[in-house]
Amino acid sequence: MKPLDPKLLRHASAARRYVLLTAGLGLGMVALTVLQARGLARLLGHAREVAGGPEALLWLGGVWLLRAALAGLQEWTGKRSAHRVIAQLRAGLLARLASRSEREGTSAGGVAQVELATRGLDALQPYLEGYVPQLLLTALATPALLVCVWRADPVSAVLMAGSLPLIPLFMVLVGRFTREATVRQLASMQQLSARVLDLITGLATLRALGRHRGVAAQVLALSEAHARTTLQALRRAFLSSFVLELIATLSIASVAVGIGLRLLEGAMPLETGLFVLLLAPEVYAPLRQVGALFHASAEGAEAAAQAIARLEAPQAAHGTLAAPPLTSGTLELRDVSVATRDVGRCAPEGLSFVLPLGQGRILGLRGESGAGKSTAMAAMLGLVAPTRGGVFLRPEGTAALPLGSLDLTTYWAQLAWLPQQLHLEPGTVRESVCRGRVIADSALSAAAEATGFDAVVARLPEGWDTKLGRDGQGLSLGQRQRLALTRVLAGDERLLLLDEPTAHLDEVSEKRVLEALKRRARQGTTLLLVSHRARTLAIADAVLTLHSHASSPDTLAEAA
Amino acid sequence: MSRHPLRQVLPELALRPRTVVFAVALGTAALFASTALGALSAWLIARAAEMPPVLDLTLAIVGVRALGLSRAGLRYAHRLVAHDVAFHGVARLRARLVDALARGPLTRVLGLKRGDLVARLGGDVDAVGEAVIRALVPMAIAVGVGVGSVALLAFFLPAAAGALAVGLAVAGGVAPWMGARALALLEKASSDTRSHQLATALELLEGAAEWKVSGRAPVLLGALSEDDLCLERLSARAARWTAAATFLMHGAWSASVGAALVLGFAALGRGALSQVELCVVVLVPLGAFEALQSMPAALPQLLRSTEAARRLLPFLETPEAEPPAAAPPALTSAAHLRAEGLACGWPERSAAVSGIDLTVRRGTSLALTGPSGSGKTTLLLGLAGHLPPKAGAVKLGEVSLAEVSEQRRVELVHYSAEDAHLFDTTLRENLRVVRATLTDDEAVAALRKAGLGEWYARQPQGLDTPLGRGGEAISGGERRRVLLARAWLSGAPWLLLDEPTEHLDSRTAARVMRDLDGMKAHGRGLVVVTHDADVARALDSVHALAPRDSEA
Repeated sequence: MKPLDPKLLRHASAARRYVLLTAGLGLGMVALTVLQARGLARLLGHAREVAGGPEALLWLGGVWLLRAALAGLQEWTGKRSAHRVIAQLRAGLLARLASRSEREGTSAGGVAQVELATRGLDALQPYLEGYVPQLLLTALATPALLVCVWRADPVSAVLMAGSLPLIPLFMVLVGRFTREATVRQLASMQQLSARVLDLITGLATLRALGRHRGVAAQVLALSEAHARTTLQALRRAFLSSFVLELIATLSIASVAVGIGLRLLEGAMPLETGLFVLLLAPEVYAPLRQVGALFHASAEGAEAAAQAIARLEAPQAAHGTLAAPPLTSGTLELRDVSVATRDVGRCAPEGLSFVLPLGQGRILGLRGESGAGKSTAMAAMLGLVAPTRGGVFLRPEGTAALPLGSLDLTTYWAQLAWLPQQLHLEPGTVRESVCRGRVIADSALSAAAEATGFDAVVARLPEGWDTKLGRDGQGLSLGQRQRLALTRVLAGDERLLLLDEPTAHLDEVSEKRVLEALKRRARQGTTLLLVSHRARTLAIADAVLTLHSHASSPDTLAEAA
Repeated sequence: MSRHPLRQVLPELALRPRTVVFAVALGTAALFASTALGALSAWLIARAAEMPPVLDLTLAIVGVRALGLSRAGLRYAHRLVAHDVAFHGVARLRARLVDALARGPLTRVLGLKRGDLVARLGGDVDAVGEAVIRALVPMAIAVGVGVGSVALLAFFLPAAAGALAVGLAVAGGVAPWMGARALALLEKASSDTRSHQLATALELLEGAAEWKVSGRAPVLLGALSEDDLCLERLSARAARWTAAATFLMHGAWSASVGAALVLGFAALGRGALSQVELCVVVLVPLGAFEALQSMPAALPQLLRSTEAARRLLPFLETPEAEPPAAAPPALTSAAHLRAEGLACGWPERSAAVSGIDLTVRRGTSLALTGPSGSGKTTLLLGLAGHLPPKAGAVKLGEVSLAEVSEQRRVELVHYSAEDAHLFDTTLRENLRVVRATLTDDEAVAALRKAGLGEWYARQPQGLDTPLGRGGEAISGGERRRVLLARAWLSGAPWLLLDEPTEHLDSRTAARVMRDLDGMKAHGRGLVVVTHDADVARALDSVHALAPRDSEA
């Protein structure tokens, strides 16, 4: 783990300001600490002469007040800045998340990324509030304090300067020495706790099978073993902080004894001795804090490193050509294969067809689950790059344009897609259906009537203006399907890609929706339907069957 | 008045008082060593300045060195002992909870969501342990060191000791309380926004393709940054309070040292205190506040652990005694499982289904269908006797299931939940869960029966094939079939299966249903819950549940 990654400062401008501010405040605190030590030493060192002069006390009180205020300010800026830095990183990560490719979307890595962008980044809070300032202080305050001690008593300064580097040195040595055993123990700890959780998760199942006797004893034995292993690991883990404490306190004690002996010889005034004694713990304090916070901050540093890695990951290149109008020409799939997660298997595999645009054609795709129907659709949308073959748009009378060369937003703007899994965006029902398009009320209600969404709207508390999603109404799957279909039917896109459009619908609604789709086709809109329902596929001019291995050639000919 | 949740849960850790005292004593000694180091060093230096014979200082020099050496060792020992105490306590608490769940009412276990169960017995139990390490022991130590420092100071100057006591109470009590309160309020106020943000972020990820194609990503990103602005306002408000708490802590420290100075000089003037003693009087409060360093973290931890303990309390209630087992009159040969005017639902909730009359004969199969929320699973649990009837009865032959002990019931009625657990172990162990005496031949025969014959033949490790965490190493279809093999092996005459074809494509589902229907051949009765009408048609009869009106 990098103590403080400069890249963090680049990706979060708030971090730059924070680091400067923290350094300034930290140095201010150090200056006040020195002043306080000087004041106390003077008062105590000349107790007889000064005899608690009110001025000296007032002066000291002023220093203390300033010090307390500065500490409060540090806390305040720390909390606020940490929040800003996290917010900036979060915004960056989420924007990346929104532009990710289809493939990453459903993978475990995707969920991990959401986890990182939300809760994961919160681990940065203690890191930024505690560790980073102490690290800066170690770099700035420790040398400054050493200089102050040097000017008062060079011998003590040399002793401290000599002992300070021993702390990181020994900590690294201890870390090296114990690393292997720690890794080994960590693995067995994880295994043990996984087994406990597995047993607990299966408790209901065991109970239903009447096999729950002895589970508690098993959990106890496993948990005890986990505790023992963890303690063995801690015995080593705590060694490094033991070394830190030992060197620091022993050095402070040696400085005190050294001063005492020199005072005894009359080689030094009491005031100087007390000044050095008061500063000695302060010299070691930042380094001790860094050591104490090191483990607690490791998670935060790790989160920062991950966020930076994600932000700097290269993004797929985009095409720049504007898509041709989808009112004429053809959409062509040539020998499209997309590799699946099973090694060596593609779905779809070798899929080819030519879909004429602007002629009101309806093409159906069917096949058993896993044959690649939805993936084929994703490839047509340019969301998935085919492993082999390609998807092309061929404007009438010109060469075919591969989808990859296009600025896909100009292509997407002309089509409507009904995915299999529907998502609701925050906003009102009307906003969710219109999606920024200008749609006349008459068109809206006609589409809603066809899908049966009008009945859903009628029952919503505020009709079309009901808020959806997080702050508002939840919709059932069937209601969502109707909303999404209304969205598709209400627009005037010339290419509709519909994945299981009649899922979750009863027979009456299905019929009405299919009628509406046929009407759209008669107006010249091109439709591609993925479905496993025979009734739905019946409206298609041609139906392609996908098999897990290859699409059947006879239906291919029919489609082309 | 109900007692503090943490105080009710802590005894379950069964901590040995002697070890806890030992941990606190070690921690107190470690921290007091640094206060004493400061005071003794001050005495040494101030006395040395008076240039006494060197022999007068020998003891102090040895003392300073000894304190410098001992602090690190004491602290190391303290941390190990404290963690040891807490970890073993946590192990006992976890086992105690599992025991309570295993012996308590079955509905409690079945009604828990899997995630909740893991959160309670995992994170929440750990949180109670952390209360010991990070809150209770440090608080005891702070009190110990505080009392020690005050006593040490009182030896020289009682008035200054009084000021120190007040300062410590403010810095160790009031200020951390303010900080903890601000954090708790922040957590409470921001939890809704946080879960919104998480939900929206997940929506952004899951619908990434849809937002891209429809150009709606900016809408979601806007909602997310709005959330962040709201969080920022809340945290700024909390930051004011924590900053004030920090100011107060430093203020209390300064005031205590200042009071020691003023009172010390006054005493010096009176001749009640020597210059050497004055140095000690000022340096004791200077170091005493180190004892409070863990307090700001201790209070929030205490609040978190208290919440965790509150969630654990219901689990600790004394388990109900099993109803006495009625002498089972030839239950094994009962010819039918029958519901008579059955109404069932979860305890303390209204009945999810009512007025159910149905009969399953041995050697026949019945499908329970209905839209989601119609109470299919609840009815199946009722038929298994796992949910006590709210009205009517479930009878095996002529005997009401409610009168049969749980142990006997599960032998007669095999209930397989939709999310029945596959353990992170081998295939063999996952089948032996049904019957410990299972032989390998029986296991393989059951796998064949469940339609896993071909799959099994492809596994090089055979019955030693690991299934992974929650069965993640095998496909959804294989998972379903392992559960069928369990059902087959159970030897129970009645098999009650919840959604055995969920998440399977239609062709696979049809095959599973065919295999399932074969299970009735050996004189078993079969009840299958499914939402898939096609699947339901494959069975002998269908009982359709109507959607519940109350939900509309």
